[in-house]
Amino acid sequence: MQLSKHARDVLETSMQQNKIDDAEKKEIEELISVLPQDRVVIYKNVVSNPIGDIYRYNIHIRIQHMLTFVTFLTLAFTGLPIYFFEAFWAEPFNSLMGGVNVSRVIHRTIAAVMIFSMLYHILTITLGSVARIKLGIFDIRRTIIPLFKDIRDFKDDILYFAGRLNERPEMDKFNYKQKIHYFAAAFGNLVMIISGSSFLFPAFWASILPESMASHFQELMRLSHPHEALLALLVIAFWHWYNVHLAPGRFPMQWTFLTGKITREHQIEEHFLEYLRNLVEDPEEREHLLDMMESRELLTEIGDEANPKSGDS
Amino acid sequence: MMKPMTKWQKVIAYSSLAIVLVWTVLGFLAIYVILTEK
Repeated sequence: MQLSKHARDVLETSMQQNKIDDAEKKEIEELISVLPQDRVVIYKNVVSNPIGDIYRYNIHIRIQHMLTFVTFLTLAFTGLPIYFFEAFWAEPFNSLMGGVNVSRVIHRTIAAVMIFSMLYHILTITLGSVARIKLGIFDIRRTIIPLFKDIRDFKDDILYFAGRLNERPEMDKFNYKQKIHYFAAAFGNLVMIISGSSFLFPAFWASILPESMASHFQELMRLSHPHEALLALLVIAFWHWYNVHLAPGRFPMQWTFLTGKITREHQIEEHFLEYLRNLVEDPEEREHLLDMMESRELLTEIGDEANPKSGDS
Repeated sequence: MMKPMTKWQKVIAYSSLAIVLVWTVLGFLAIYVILTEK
């Protein structure tokens, strides 16, 4: 396999950051050079454990996902019947909670847990990044921060799905779709927190906003809170759940949120650049890949693809 | 090539799938009710 310029740069940065010695470098380069050029052939032929092979999320991120997951659904269950108080379907939900006054208390308590989860997340990613910078192993391409390459990947992925490209783009640990989703959720969270706090602390907001704006702000927030909630529910039910449950290759469920691991197949298909780093960081993964490709007779001779002149011409 | 799931893995994966599908159907119903209620 001949790596693209970008993939080569990712590989070399990773080898440099992990202080890989010359012998190991040679081993990694040799492994890559004998892999088939077509990534689809690789990911269709590797053996994957459905609950995951490669480490992706640490325990903090998994706890934060679990907190967000539980608080989000509970907030929707308690919040929508409060807003649609008079609707026939809202009454049983409110009764289940012990009446609308109890629903309100539960809703606010769970909201505090959701805010805690967000702060916990900000702390984790900030401290994690600072630690990586100090250790000299920080690579911005490995983070959730949007880069110009994401726009290119978005375009290339559309071209692939339209049948105009043979392969999906080489994407990083977080692809364009995940970045859009992440920042949409972050924005939604902020809208919910600001609007929710304006109901709880109207005097505070009135004291910091210009007098002419305060009541308009309250009205705006009263509209935003339920509608952002509905939007978030739709995004979760139709976008997120499709991606993690129904999408081909993920059905019936992607286990990463529980095990913290991603399948080898998925990593090569959608996060190829991160897989290159996995090959650098984990000698066992190199052995696995080599064995799997060898047993299926899919390895190319060294130099076949690296040097086209020595080929069929 | 994915290894087959064990019995328990199947139970967890398919039951969570069932939950989200039921939730999605309820979501459709809720949106329909919200949008058509007078």
